[in-house]
Amino acid sequence: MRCRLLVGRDWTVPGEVNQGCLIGAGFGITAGLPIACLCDLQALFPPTIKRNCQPVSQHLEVYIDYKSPYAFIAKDPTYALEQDFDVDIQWLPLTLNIGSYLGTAKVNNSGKVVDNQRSPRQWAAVKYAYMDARRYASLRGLTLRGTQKIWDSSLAAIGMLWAGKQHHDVLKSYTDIVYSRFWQRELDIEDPEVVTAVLAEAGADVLGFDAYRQGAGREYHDQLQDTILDRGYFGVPTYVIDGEVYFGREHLPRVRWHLAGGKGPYPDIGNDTVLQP
Amino acid sequence: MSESAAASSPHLSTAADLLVCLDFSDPESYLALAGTRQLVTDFDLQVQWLPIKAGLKRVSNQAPTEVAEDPLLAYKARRAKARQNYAATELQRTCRLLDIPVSQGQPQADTSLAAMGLLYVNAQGGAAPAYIESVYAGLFRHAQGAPAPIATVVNAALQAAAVAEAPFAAFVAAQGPQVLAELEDSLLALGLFASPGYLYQGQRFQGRQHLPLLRWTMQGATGTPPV
Repeated sequence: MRCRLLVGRDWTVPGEVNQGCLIGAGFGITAGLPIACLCDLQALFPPTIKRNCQPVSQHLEVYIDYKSPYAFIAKDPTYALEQDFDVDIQWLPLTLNIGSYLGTAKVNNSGKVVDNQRSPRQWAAVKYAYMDARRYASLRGLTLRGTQKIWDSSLAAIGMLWAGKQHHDVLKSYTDIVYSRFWQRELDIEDPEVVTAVLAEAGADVLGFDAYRQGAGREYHDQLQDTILDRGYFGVPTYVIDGEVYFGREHLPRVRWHLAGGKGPYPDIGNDTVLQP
Repeated sequence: MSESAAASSPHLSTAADLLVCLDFSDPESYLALAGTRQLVTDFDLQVQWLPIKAGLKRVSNQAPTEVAEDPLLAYKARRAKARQNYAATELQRTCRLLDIPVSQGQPQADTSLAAMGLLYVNAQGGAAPAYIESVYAGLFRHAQGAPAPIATVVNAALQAAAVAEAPFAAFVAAQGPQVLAELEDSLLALGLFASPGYLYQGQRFQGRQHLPLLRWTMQGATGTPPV
């Protein structure tokens, strides 16, 4: 049974109760305790644990990359899920190696190609992707300027992990800032000082981030990329819910179907999220 | 379709409101057909139906499938494998929506003959929607363990489109392959490489996920758009 266990005064722990034991990494990490039996927890915090489990929000993993225009325009339709459903969204980085499958190229400030390692079909695919993303972005008043090179977004991704360790609102703010400025060509996501400043602006405590980005954060990020590729996640945005993997925001109707309990016919794909201005 | 687009190829019509490109080898395109035809009916559109080879997937999948010592090649191979596995899962979903067994939904290797058939039907003024429906049904809704040979499927579809079969054989033997190759080049020049591909008032929409936006555009692009 999936429950939200209420511990302490102002925070909660999602987890699963199986034969009286709380299972789930969330508790150990958040409380600084190893995963423990429910009865042990009650002994430790008798007045502050709700004994009765309550149904908890469903868990949705969302993998994004800040340098992906498609992940950028998926952000707000994905946020909208939180308004419509009781869903616990876990945002995670999937750092693309774009050059490996769409070739590489650089353009100058005038848009002139100064380095080209792409075939005509790869160019067609890239140009269409930007046109398509820009079309949807402009419908919402968002600026999306094509990048001039293929960025290494791993540092910004480690920033995402750091922000995610702190508070949901911090992560949301960090993601909003990074996306907005990066796609206006106003953010160097490869510069540690810039990323640190954005974290601070988003409300994150940045003490320790410098060590994290060079040590544990980098290690976790790289290991995560390896792990999720083996799981079959290869692009962004990727949604994982109820053991199903969906690549692309066009699958949001299906994600919603899962969140609604899988009732009714299984929907087809579609960019059909309607966001109020 | 815009005149400038049509001017880029003799195979593209200036009279059509909407250009629809479909890949006969792909059950995902078959799945798009119902929604596309609904759009055509709702807005009373003049449509030019054309065949396309969906190239992007092939482009992205040109990665080695065997793990190499080179880290980049090894990454590409792993990513290619992940894509293939995902495509297999997505195929199951597609078949579920088409209400056909997965065994019937397997992508077809070479549907060039069916593609030339559609060009021929267009040239003869035949019923392109009936032809398309018949080809897809022949390839993906067959009663036997495997679809009939492509020639049999195409002949049945030509009959459904009410065009003569005999001159089609001559078309295939003569200019058919050349016309098809030119069309592919023309579509790529327009930036169309995926299926279903739509061209409406100069705007490209590739993939059936865009049908809501296409509908919103046809309705006058007013009100809150689907995104």
